[in-house]
Amino acid sequence: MKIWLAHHRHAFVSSLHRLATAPFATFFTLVSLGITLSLPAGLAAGLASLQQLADRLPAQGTLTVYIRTDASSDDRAALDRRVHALPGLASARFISRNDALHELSQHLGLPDLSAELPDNPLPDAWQLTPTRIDPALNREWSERLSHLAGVDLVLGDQVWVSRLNALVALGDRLTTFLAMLLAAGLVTISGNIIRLQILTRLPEIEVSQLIGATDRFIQRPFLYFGALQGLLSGVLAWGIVCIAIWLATPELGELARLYGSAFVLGYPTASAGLTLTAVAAALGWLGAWLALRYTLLR
Amino acid sequence: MIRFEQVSKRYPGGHDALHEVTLHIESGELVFLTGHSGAGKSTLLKLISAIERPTSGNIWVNEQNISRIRRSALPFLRRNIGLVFQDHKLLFDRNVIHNVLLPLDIAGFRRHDAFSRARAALDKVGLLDREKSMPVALSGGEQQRLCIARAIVSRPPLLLADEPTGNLDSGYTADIMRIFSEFHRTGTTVIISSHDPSAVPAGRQRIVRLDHGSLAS
Ligand SMILES: Nc1ncnc2c1ncn2[C@@H]1O[C@H](COP(=O)(O)OP(=O)(O)OP(=O)(O)O)[C@@H](O)[C@H]1O
Ligand SMILES: [Mg+2]
Repeated sequence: MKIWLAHHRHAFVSSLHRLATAPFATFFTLVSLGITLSLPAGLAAGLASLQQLADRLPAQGTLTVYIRTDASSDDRAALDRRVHALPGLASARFISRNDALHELSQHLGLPDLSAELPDNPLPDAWQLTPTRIDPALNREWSERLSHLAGVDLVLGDQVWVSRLNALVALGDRLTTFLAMLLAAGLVTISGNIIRLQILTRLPEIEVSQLIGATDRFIQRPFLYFGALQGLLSGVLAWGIVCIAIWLATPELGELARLYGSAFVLGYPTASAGLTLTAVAAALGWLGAWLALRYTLLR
Repeated sequence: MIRFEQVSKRYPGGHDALHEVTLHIESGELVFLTGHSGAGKSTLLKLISAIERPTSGNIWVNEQNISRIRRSALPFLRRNIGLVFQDHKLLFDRNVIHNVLLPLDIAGFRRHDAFSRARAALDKVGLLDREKSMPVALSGGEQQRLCIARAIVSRPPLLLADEPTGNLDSGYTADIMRIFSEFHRTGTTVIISSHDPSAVPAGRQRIVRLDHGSLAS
């Protein structure tokens, strides 16, 4: 047990030593790995914020059914029955064309709108609110209602939400793909650095084997080095993402304000950052492991 | 401690370096291995430390048949053997004391104990005042002594020295031989190879002579 601890301490100290003896090489490597990692990490942070925005949009899944102005009273009665027979209906509000014009004129601050218009151009409408937000339910409703006689148009407020959601899902896909690509890149870069290290340390490895070093003893410092390198580049990537968000926040806030939106780019959570560093460390370790497999297995 | 039974070694390329060697070395013996250049001295020492495998025959070290030793068991065989290499195999990227510390790191010694042991070993070979030097700054003879210090630092029960006096003048040769016989007196089995018969000190030591890969008596 003591020997085991001594071995691990030895490996850790010697890998730290290797990082410190070549500060420039270490710095450039870490920066390149950090930038590589910060790309998918930054994208993921942006997407998380966008997802939050989508979740916060005040959509209740409301559906508005516009009624043709020339609809007969039979058609209207049939529609009334169909509306109230809808599954999952929370409330149905009938908005007459006069009420609608009144609302509009108040909205626009033009109290005499009804007087000035020769004819009320607005249709009668039903505003339907479901018990739950469910795009499938909305689709079912609009299928049931849109082909009825007397119905002009069925519009849902969910359209924007589902568009945003689709966009976020697409972004998620892209980010996952990019993350996998760059993870492979990190493994390759880290593995290549370790491979070069192994090659420059072949004399030491050979002598160590001759005087009784186990394979584990020989591999351990390289594995530590790979993991440490990955860990540090993960921390760096975390830092890069935070700085980028910090730099972008005033401009984004201004932009969002102009659009009357509450969009804020959130900083990655602590658990996301820690996951990032842990994954980076694991990838660095994997790179070292692969390099050892292919360089020492002769 | 060491038993060779009809051991032959043919290197890839077809050269017979050893031919049907049968040999027995008791624990605690001091043995000189002599023979002309190319006689197979280094090969014999490499077979004992399992750096090379025999083509035929069996080799026992400490009751363990090492002709068919598993790779994973090699480190534990080697930790019991101190090796002085003909070509030194020093590490030029670290200073003298860190070269000597290597076997102790491998054995998992605590830093503090390791340093005092390494200094004691350097003291024995007369290099204590050079502990901070880099190996390139050492003369050929000093490098050889450093190699000896590295071989004895973990106090192995078996010491194999391949031409340890090759680069030394007669004064240092006598010094080195004294180190080895000191080591031998503490119970270590010591095998020293030399192509130069005059390097063997006068006395009643056992001499094993190789001639073109075969034992000559
Ligand atoms: N790796 C090798 N591959 C092929 N042949 C080898 C190899 N090592 C040694 N030999 C050959 O085996 C023979 C014995 O070599 P060995 O090194 O054992 O001799 P030696 O007695 O140690 O000689 P020296 O006194 O010059 O060191 C030599 O003829 C040598 O050319
Ligand atoms: Mg030789």
